[in-house]
Amino acid sequence: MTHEGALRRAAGEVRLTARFVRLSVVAQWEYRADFVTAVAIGAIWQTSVVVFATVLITRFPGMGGWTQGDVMLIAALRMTGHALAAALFMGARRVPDLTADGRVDGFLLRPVPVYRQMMLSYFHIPTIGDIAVAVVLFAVALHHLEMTWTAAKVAYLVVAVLGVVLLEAAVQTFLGGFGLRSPAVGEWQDWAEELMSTFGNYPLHILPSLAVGVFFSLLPIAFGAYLPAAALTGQTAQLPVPAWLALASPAVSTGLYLLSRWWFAVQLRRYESVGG
Amino acid sequence: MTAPAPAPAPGPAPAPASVSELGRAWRVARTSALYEVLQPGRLIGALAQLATQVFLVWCLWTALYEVVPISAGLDQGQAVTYAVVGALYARLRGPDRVAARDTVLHHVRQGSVVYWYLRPLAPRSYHWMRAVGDQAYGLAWTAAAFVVVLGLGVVQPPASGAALAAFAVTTALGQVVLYQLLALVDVACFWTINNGGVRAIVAFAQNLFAGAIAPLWFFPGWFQTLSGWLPFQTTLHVPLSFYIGRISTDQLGRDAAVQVVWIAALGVLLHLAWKRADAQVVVQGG
Repeated sequence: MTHEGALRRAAGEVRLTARFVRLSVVAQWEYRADFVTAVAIGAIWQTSVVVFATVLITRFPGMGGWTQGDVMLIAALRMTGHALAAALFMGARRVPDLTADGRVDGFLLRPVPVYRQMMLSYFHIPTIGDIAVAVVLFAVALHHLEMTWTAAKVAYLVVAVLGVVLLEAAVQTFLGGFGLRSPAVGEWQDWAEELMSTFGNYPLHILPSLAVGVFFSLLPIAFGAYLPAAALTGQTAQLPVPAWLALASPAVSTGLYLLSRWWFAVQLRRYESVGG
Repeated sequence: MTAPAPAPAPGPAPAPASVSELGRAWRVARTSALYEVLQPGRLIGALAQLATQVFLVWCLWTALYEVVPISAGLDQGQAVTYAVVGALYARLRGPDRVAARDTVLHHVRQGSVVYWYLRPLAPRSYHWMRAVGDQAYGLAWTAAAFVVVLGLGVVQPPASGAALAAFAVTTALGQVVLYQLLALVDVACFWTINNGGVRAIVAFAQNLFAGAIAPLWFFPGWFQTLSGWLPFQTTLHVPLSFYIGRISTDQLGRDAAVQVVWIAALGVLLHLAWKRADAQVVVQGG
């Protein structure tokens, strides 16, 4: 394919994505009260996370040897990444519903990859509120941080946010793969989301080693915001992993996302329509 | 003048009305619980989730208190007890009916709510029986889990006998408030059709203002004042604060009275909502 052809194709895909999103937003706008409350809940929910994190940071100073600014950076990274993940990958949490409704059958007939159709089948309206609060939290965290920002650190910050996006997408895509076969997986997805939003905001080394082990392996929250924040702030002395691994955690998240996509593709090949 | 009694039908004598009604209520009330109990995978999953949640919450709060002996008027034992029981709060609402597509939201959106109006049972009675059954099942789960964590020493025993009594009274009243709040959200489906946002906001408000996310004692004064004007804290925060001894039992009369006022106000609201919902029902696609 020529360079020009590749560009045209990419532009076409962006247009198609924008059309999917617009259709989803218009469909949800039909229920105005719900639309407005959905935006409000995004903002209120995330505000509560901010209030809670602030309360804990204030009441328990020096959490695990980290300063208030350091801990806030973890929360800001996670929240921003979560808001973007909700905007781009919320479809992964709807896989059990889409399967039960038989909509996967329709996706299989169209000339667009099924996974992409699933991700674009629904735009998560609360994400608008999520992003607004995430920006505020980031500003507060940066204000509290005593750090000299260089171009490399700013670039790493952006990469770290993308790492959180891919990690959350990886967890929900992996579980979504099971969702192609069982509707009950939705409960596990909600639970994983709750764990990530609760424990993804703190320096995990304050927990006992068993819990830390779980968050490095079974539900690898650590690679989301905690380790990149440690790499950025230089708080690597108490980490249970080497500093280079903390620095490379966005790459780990990318690898986990690719693995989850492979798992999803395997499950999709075994898909059986609920319609029989 | 009274109407003449109909001639008795031939065959075996029917069971007394009260017994058959109780039997019918029991069959309706146990529906959601059976859905979970009869699927070992779901049951084990729910158990594993709850155990992990309790363990992690215990880890977090124990770790936080390693550097501070007392915070917000709570020592480690009180804070851990509050936080762990807060983690059990989600079960109080009963089994999750989303996977079975058996929520009021699903029925309204799919039009199957029409069957509620074709049965020889008023929709609000059916809803009430299901909700009470769900909540009783959830309460049984929570109580069993509580006994286990108490036995393991994860949570501490009540501060005193009077504290236990105050806890029992306010828990019972709090359960009624919880039912009314959940029922109001369900009935709201009849107006908004798609009330996923409203449901999420109320579920979240319940968790936050009840103290399930974190003990309310740790929040700023303005937040506690705001919470005091809402009904949610009567479902968890008030009973738990009595249990751990953070509130003096002298306050029982006042707090129980507040709960009774909420029960009355929410009861009137729920009655009016059901009355209008029956006239409002829209059967989509029917």
